[in-house]
Amino acid sequence: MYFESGRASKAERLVFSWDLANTIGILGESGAGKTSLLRRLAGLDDTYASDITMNGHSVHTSKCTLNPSVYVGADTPLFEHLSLRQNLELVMSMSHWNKQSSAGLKAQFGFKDCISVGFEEVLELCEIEHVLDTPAALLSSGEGQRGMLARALLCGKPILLLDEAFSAMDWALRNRLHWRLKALCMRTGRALIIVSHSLKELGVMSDTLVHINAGLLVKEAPTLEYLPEFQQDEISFFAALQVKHLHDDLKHHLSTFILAGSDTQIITKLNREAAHTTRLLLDANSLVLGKQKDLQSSMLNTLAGDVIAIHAKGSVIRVSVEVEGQTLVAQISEKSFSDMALSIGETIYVYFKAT
Amino acid sequence: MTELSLGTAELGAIWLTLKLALFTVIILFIIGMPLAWGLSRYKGRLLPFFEALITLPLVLPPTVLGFYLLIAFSPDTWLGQTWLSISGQQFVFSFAGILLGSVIYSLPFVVQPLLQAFRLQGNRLIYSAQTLGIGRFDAIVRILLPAMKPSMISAATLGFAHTLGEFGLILMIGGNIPGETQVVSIALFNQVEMLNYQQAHQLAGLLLILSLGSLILLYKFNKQQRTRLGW
Repeated sequence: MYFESGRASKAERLVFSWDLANTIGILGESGAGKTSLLRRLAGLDDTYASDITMNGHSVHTSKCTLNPSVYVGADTPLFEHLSLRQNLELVMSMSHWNKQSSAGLKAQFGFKDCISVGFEEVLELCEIEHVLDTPAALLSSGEGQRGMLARALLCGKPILLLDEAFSAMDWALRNRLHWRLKALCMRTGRALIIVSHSLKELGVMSDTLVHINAGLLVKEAPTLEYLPEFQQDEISFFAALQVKHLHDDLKHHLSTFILAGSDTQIITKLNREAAHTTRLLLDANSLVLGKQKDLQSSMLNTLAGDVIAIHAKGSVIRVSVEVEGQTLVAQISEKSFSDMALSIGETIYVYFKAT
Repeated sequence: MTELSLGTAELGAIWLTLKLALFTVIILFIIGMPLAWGLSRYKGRLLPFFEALITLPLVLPPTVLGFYLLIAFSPDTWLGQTWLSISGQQFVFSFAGILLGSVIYSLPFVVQPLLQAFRLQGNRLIYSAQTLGIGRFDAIVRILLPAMKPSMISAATLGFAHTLGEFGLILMIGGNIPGETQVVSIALFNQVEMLNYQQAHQLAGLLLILSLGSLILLYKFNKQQRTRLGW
């Protein structure tokens, strides 16, 4: 997708060229222009003329009905005079993108493989079966957001623009939805573009991070590459690891993954989304460093790696360790660091619990 | 207990009042819906002027409005002549005259609730529907209008109840012609002038019951809506 919008001067225009096979995560300070960008993509904001091209075809920037993107904001309204079920059924029956004639439109924009999603599957994904017949006005914020997400999935459009669309949900629920949604979008040929203030959310969901400020592009880079840099000023630091699900141990309620491109195993707590999970987030504070391989501790995971960077951040030290080509970051105290006498290039062991 | 003893003229006034209120509400909906929709989307410099114009009948003495209509449609003016040539009867002192007066007089009571509803919900609901792939016409008919039902009921009830109580404006433009322009409030005035307090009581009581009843029904409906929507 090619996107260009903004003032007349080239230097003041926001220009992107994205491969929508990747999930795009957009971050930036409040007021940076993230919502405006998504609304312009959806054809909902015509403050500036926008030029959007997909698969060589121009996208309607004023007729948002015919725009292939559906915008889901944190406070996008459900139709409050209807129940949640009626909201979903109305969209399924009335959306142009659910009609036979929309196949050509999808193909034109490069989404010929986009298939519709089943009603029951969406209900299960969004965990809204129990509130289906509740008037939309009586739903809690989190239920409402899940209802909006379900409605967007059922409208048939191939691109989902999610603008803080999970903000009213707790992290456990969010994380379940993240993985299911990403898996569903991959399977049904849908693209995802996400705006969030939560770096963790972007770390889990996005393949490419786009940082904007004052309506202009600051940087665009692969998520795993860019996350550490963007977190330098953050108090709680985390690393994202590419993984592949191996198997579940139902007896002990554990799931086993392997680090992508290796046979190094990582054990986590069992969860229903394990099969969809391709990325694990590890808090820097939860990692323990040791110089010996076998600590004989209760921790189930021990990864061997090399120290590749050491950063002092106030009274704490962040140690970056490369494991099988991926980077973990452990946050330790100054005292631990001086007692261990760590140096770059040294082999070290990283221990952590089954998170 | 006082026996109900309304004469033909009073019954005619009741029928005329109800007819006037009903026609006024129907006409106000036909012009008020597009007017409120257009005004809710208009962002130009003249917005305060248009808003003031629509709200003016709320604060203007009805006799002032009636006076200007009387002058504008008197038989020797262009408007009066045009109406005469079209309908064959003069505009002032006719049902058409009091109907136009009522429409202008009750305009803010119908347009304001609709305008507020369009401003509050209009763009949000239509944009939400459109981004979900629903066409503009369907978005208005299937989503916006049903969502505005409480506001439309408020507008209709207020317009109806307000028209029931008109006096000064109707007296100015319509006079006091039984069966043509004599509405209940004017019939009541006649009875009081003739010291027929029993019939005056009956007419006053009728207006009171109709007005209060309309408002009770409106608030009962609003309460049901709030309960249903958890407000």
